[in-house]
Amino acid sequence: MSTSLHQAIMAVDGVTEVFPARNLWQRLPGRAASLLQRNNADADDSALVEVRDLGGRTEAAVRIGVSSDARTPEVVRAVAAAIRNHLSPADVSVKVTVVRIAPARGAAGV
Amino acid sequence: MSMPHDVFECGHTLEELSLYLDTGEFPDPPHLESCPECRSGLDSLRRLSAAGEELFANDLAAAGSGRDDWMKDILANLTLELRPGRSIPLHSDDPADTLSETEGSVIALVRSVADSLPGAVAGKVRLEGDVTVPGEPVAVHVDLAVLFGHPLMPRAASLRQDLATALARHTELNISAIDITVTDVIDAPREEL
Amino acid sequence: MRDQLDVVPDAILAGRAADGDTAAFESLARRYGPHMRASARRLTGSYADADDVVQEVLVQAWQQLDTLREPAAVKAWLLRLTGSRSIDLLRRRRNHASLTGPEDDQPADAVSPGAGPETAVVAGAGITSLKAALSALPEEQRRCWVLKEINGQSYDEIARTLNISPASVRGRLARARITLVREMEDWR
Repeated sequence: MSTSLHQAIMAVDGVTEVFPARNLWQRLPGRAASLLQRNNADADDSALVEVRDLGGRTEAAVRIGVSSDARTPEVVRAVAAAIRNHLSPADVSVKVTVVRIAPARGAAGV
Repeated sequence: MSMPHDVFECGHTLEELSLYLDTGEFPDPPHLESCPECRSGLDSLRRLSAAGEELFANDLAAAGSGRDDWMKDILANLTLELRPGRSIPLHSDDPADTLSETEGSVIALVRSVADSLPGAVAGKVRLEGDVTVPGEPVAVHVDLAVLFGHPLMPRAASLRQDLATALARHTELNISAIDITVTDVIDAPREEL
Repeated sequence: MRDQLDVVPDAILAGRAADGDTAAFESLARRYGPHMRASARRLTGSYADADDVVQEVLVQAWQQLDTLREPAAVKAWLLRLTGSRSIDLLRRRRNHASLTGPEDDQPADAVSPGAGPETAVVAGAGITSLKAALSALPEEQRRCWVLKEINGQSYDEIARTLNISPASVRGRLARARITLVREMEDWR
């Protein structure tokens, strides 16, 4: 694959972050919040996208952050499509959970 | 010197005086003004109490400020779990997919919209109603602290509008009401903000 | 926004933190951290242990904040947790000491008074004599006194922290005060 799944998800308009699949922690503002953000194109997708076998069908689950400027329902639908697209021809069901809605990194504001 | 169960000539005890200092309760309050033993006992206890306050003030000063390195180090070592709350569904074109947002993300969104109002700081935010069922009516409750001097009524109206817009943009919730309660008026010098 | 939170009442901060706002939680920690530290130091007698207690209390506080029924009472709650954890630590330390021998149970950085002439000049004779008298109190009386005078707890709260009855608290506190008064007057 020329691009990772992580890149494919981040390429979706309105996505600000992809979070690790397990154990969501946050640090206090003084520390770098980028612990939760991967910029590396070679990021290990398995840590970001949890893939489970549900009675024969594979489910790919991911947690994302959405920009406050975007429309969240549209973004999650686009992310689901991007994941399905990336993993095709495998027949997967997709689970997308928004855990954060905030200004994109580098934008003015909190 | 008396022990707590020893009885003064007047029939009262130092334990009773100790209780009196803490709670204001005493079987026979007028007695305290006239009895020399009781008054002496109270004086001693009050001197001790003052010394205790001085000790506390000393200990507190020695403990430093909340902005010092020791606190920074403690805070830097804390990892705090996100609070996702309930799962709020979002419509999916593909029935096999599960799309949702956490209640925590929506509450944080409401909080940030309220915070962006000048002179306002959001407190507790609550989504009332079953947010896990699409179409179910949901009432949004926001506690607000407002800086003294900022007009409340027009602010509440514009905030309600801003919140309705943000919730329509980021959720598919059926918002039945947006209820803003000003719980505190903060009296702070303008320069502090 | 972070500094803005510093002027905001406890209940607002507690509400935000219960919702998941770490900046508000940090603000609360900074606001009451020094008091918690002073209390833990006085109870455990150790600077290092006190900081451990403060950190553990903050972790527990984050986890349990959304169960707090009275957000405005968050300060008293934090101090109550500090008292409990400090006493738990003392209990563990004593159990450990009984295995390793009595000479090991006094922490190297003991806060306990041992007033020398230099201390008297710096701290004032009143505090010095109080510290000395405090260190001579039986442990169970000292705890009651510290929880009352340093943590500012009520009889009921102290009773819950120490797992004794409010009547026992009243008795121990009275005995502590009488002993302290006597000791301090001997000093003069």
